[in-house]
Amino acid sequence: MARKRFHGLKRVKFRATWNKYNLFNLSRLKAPNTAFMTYYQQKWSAKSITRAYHGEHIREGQWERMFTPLLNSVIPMDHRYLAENDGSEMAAGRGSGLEKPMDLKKIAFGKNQIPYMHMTYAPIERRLDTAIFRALFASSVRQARQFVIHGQVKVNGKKIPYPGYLLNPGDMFQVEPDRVLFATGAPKVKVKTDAEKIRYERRIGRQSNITRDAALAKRSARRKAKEADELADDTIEFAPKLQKSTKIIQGDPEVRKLRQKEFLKLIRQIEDRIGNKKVRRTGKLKQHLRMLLRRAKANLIFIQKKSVDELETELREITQELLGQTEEVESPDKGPVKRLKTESEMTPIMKQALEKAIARIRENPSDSTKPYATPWRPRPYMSAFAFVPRYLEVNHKICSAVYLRHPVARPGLSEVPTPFPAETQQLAFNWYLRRR
Amino acid sequence: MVVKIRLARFGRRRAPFYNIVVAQARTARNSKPIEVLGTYDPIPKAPIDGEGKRWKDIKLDSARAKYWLGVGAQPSDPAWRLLSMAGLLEPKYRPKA
Amino acid sequence: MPPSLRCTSSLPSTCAKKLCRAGQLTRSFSTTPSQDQRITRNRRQLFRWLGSQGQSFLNPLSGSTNYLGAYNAQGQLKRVVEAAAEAEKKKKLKEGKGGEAATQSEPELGNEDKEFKGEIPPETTRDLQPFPLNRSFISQPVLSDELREEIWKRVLQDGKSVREVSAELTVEMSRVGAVVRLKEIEKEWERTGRPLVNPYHEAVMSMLPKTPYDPTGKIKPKPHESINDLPVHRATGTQIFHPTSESRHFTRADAAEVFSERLLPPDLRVPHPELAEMHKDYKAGLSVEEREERQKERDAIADRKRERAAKKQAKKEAAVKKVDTGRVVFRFTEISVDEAGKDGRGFKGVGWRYGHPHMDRTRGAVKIPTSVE
Repeated sequence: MARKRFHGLKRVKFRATWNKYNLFNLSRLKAPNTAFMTYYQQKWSAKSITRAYHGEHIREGQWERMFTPLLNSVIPMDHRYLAENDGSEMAAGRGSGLEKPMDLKKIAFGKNQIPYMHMTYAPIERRLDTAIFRALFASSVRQARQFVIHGQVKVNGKKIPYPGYLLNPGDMFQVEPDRVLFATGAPKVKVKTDAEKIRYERRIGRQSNITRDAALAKRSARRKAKEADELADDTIEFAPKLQKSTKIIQGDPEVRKLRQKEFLKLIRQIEDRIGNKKVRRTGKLKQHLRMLLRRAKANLIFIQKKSVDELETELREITQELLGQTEEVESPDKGPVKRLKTESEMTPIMKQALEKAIARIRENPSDSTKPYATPWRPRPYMSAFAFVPRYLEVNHKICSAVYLRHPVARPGLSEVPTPFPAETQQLAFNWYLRRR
Repeated sequence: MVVKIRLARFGRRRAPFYNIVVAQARTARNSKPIEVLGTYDPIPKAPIDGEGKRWKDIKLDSARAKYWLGVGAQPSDPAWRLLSMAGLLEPKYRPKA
Repeated sequence: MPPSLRCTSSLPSTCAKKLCRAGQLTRSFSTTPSQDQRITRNRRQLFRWLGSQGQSFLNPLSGSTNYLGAYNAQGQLKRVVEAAAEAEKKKKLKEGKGGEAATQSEPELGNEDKEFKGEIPPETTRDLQPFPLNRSFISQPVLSDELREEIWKRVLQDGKSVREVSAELTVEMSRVGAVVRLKEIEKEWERTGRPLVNPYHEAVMSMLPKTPYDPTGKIKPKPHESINDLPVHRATGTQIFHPTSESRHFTRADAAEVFSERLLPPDLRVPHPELAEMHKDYKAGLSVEEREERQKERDAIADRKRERAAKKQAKKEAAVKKVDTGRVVFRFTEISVDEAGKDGRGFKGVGWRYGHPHMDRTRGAVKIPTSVE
């Protein structure tokens, strides 16, 4: 039998995803018409549609074991009230005429009631995969589950490959940032004509050239270091100079690695730009681009030899020039290509703006090797689903979150995100009470 | 028959866990011993704050261990090592200086 | 396998139109009707909706949240429609008043128009409902970046206790702890040069409601959440008929005792009992010095309690004999053999038990850890 459509349009089932079909389904979601149903049918249909959203990937038996009729709730207390009253005023005057008749108009029905029924599926919110989805680290619960299984998620610093791990209050979970960017970023558009395929292959070839160049450079650097060592044995005068160079080679391999990565990123960016034939460029611009590419590659070759500061300035300069170029290419109607202003000619404000722009580009570069559209931007229709429930504290900068406590209901509000009205939830709750 | 102080391996594959036991020398390794003196978990644990050396957990009733040594129980080599670390015996193998 | 056919000009036009819209190529010589590409009424509706009402959700609304509950059936922002109607109403009212106030009201009217046209009015609770059918769930504000930084600063730089910071900024204590923990990791990433995921962070924060914080202190900080939540205890779920004399002064504490002997009164069960104590002092008309004095006393008691707990912990730690062998530290904990009991199965006894099969040997049992660390 063919698998049923996950986001079917015929029978509306709202799922825990950010899909646009799903959004459409949410816009037409209605509580089932229970007028002509038996009570059993009502409960069945309620259970059916609510389970399509809450832990749809969990087996029914598993969920039944998780279900509990005990629902957590809290009452917010005012410390001033607690200080001024000891509670006896609630008991005073019964029968002695102090009691006032109830004013039905004044009681806000529904507003101060605790929506207990919305807490039916609260135990599912404790699961690791659901929490990842709620923290906006994945675009669906199933995707979150996959991240966990693939070992991209850590709980308290330890890899936990179980999507069903039940979080305890105070547990911190971290998802690999690249996976999060993939899950929440706009998809990469794949259009591959024959010409593009050829171009792609060419680029692959070029990249292998780069790596070969880098390997060659490394080998030559090693050879040179060796020669220098031999030299040092013979002559003492060279000793201080040599010490310095070896120190550079040894110093901060981590930093060097990072810089190397940035250079590779930059090279890829320049190559992308050169490969992009949609934008017309003057010969001079093309030459400039090629020059930048050569310069970046040269830096990559000497990554082990140059000092970290030197690399940093090179990186900055190349990025800056590349940035300057975009401005000119993207606004061809501004007349003839303007000469780039050198750093000395700029006002401080301009400098600041440039600095910011460079930082932004370095933070969010275009990189064709990523599995999402670059520069990164949120995926379409994400904003309609973007909310973070209160039982989580999320830091999106580091793709980490802390599960503070179990979700609770309070007067008028429930912390379990659910698209269904209280009646439907109540029917579902009654289904699982096992007294049907 | 000789009474020995030795380790009985429990736990699972690649996750050893030992009981420090007093048993007759000829009985099977994991058979019910005369007495369980303690446990030895050989898998080192990382310190919670992430600083300092890793540690191994040993639980031991040193009074009972002393008693059994006093009545002539023979520790096996690994048991000797642990008991000497606990200060109940002279170390058998001294690390080379 | 036959070579794949492509839609070329030689094929009939139906192919070019229908298939390309479906986004995939099929065998044009196939005689079976392909179910997937059938354009049903529902699919037509979907695409119509995506092109009209759904267009608002394609990209985030700048400077605001963008939930389904904020839009009406026509795909217009409810609050914008309402603001427009309000402005229209006011305009009509003023026109009706006649010429006498016309000169005065003109500038005001202009202001209102600007207000409505220039910026979207702020969200109400209704606009924060991601699910239109569920009124009980709203997207509640998250901490803004400034507020997070302030919490971190107050706890780690000013050395305030979590309890104090929680009461000052009305943020739950557990949240304060979590913010500091996450912020520390963030700073660690910055120190080691690991790139932060700033573009994603900015995008998400622009889609969420936030609790603002003004670091300059000009604007009074808004309470983020209720910090004195009293958990509803299970024992209070039952209805109890408890006869007592009418003249009795029946307090919360008495009620708690009636529900269950072990249930504490709410004054002790709330997370911040010290706030009520402070307010009591204030109500008693004590001077500022006296109140400070009493607060100090209470702090001293709390400190002593903490010290005692720390001492107990230190004593426990000191009882463990540590032997450093170079690579690892062996920790010897003293136990008693007798705790295993006569049958060797006592609750406190240590060691692997004899005569008890382990459940993890059963087939297909996946052991998910129940806690980490």
